[in-house]
Amino acid sequence: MRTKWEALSRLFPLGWPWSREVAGAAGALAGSALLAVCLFIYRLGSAVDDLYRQTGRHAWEQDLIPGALMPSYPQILGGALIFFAAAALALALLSIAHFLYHRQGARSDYLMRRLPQRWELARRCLGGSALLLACTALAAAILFGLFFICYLAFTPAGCLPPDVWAATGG
Amino acid sequence: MLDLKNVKKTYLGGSTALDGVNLSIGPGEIVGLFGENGAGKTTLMKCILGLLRYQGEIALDGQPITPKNIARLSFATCEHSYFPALTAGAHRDFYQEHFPRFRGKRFAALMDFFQLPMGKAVRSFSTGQKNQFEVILALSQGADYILMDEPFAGNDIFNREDFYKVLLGILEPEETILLSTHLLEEVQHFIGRAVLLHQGKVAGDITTLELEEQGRGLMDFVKETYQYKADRVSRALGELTDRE
Repeated sequence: MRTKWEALSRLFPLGWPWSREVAGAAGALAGSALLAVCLFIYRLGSAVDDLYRQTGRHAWEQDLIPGALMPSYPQILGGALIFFAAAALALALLSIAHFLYHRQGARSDYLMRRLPQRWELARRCLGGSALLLACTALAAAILFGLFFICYLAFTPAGCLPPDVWAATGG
Repeated sequence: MLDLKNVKKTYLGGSTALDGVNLSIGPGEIVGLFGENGAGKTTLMKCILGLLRYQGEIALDGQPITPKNIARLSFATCEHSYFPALTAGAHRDFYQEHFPRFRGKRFAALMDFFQLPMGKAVRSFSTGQKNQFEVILALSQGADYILMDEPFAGNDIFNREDFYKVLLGILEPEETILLSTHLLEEVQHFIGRAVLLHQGKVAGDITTLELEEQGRGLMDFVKETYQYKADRVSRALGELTDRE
């Protein structure tokens, strides 16, 4: 386990508080996922509600509107995954911070640039961000798939639009 | 042998820092690199290390300087190239990992001699200690050519004297030093050769042995090479006081 952590530390600049960065990124990822789930549930719930009309005084007394269709999946999804994009942007900016770190208080970039290992500086400035970016993309992709499964599962039979991937209309 | 052939460097603004420098430095030499501010000393060192792009040729034993042979060069700069947040011990580990010829024994001995703490972050060191540490790293890397750019800026005279003595004591015959400094008189007994840069060109290149034979001091040589006018200050003062 310790060696794995050591390997991870090699993807960040020397002396950089990388464990804090990883914890922060994990927090941002969890927050993004939570917000995405909340937003998707709200949008999916609203869209499903719109398929029904009230027939009685109670909430459960409702009928499916004949011919009503669900909006397409992209329309339901909306900007639910936008928080992941924001997290990705922050990670990209962090890689710039990694480079600038080598000029703070000293020019350690001089040392890094004259190492026999040509890619050491690039690895330490971009490696960690790239790994976290990949985790962000993976988390977004997993949610994208899970949301689609939910979309299919919660849409009443016969209410799926002809093109579930249509970006507009539906 | 470190060979520089017609090395030119022009910065983006168009200013010429190096204007066709030709220089050869052999193994074991201790060379002082002198020149006024802006003469091109720092630029020259950065070009040798590949930190700046340049025109011309720089070769180490006939080979261009690449990651394959870059470990044969080390660098101590007044800008400092360590990691301020790291301890001296962490620097040692990093150097040991990246430079196969790292001299651990020399590192430990120099750290001990200058009484530098091994477990404290380098940013907590005094200015003098930071300079010492920078030079210790350059000397311990295991390089054949050690480039030093104003390494003692901010150190007191006793500190510098100590360093010259230690340097002379520890250097092995094949180790080469290229030392850029303004402290001419201080280093004249330490160096074996003086190279003078002026406006990006080599304006003078002489061994201290030749100087001795000619009965001249290093300062005289520098003044002659730069055509320094000794009465410059008195004339300027005279003109200024006349005007007033």
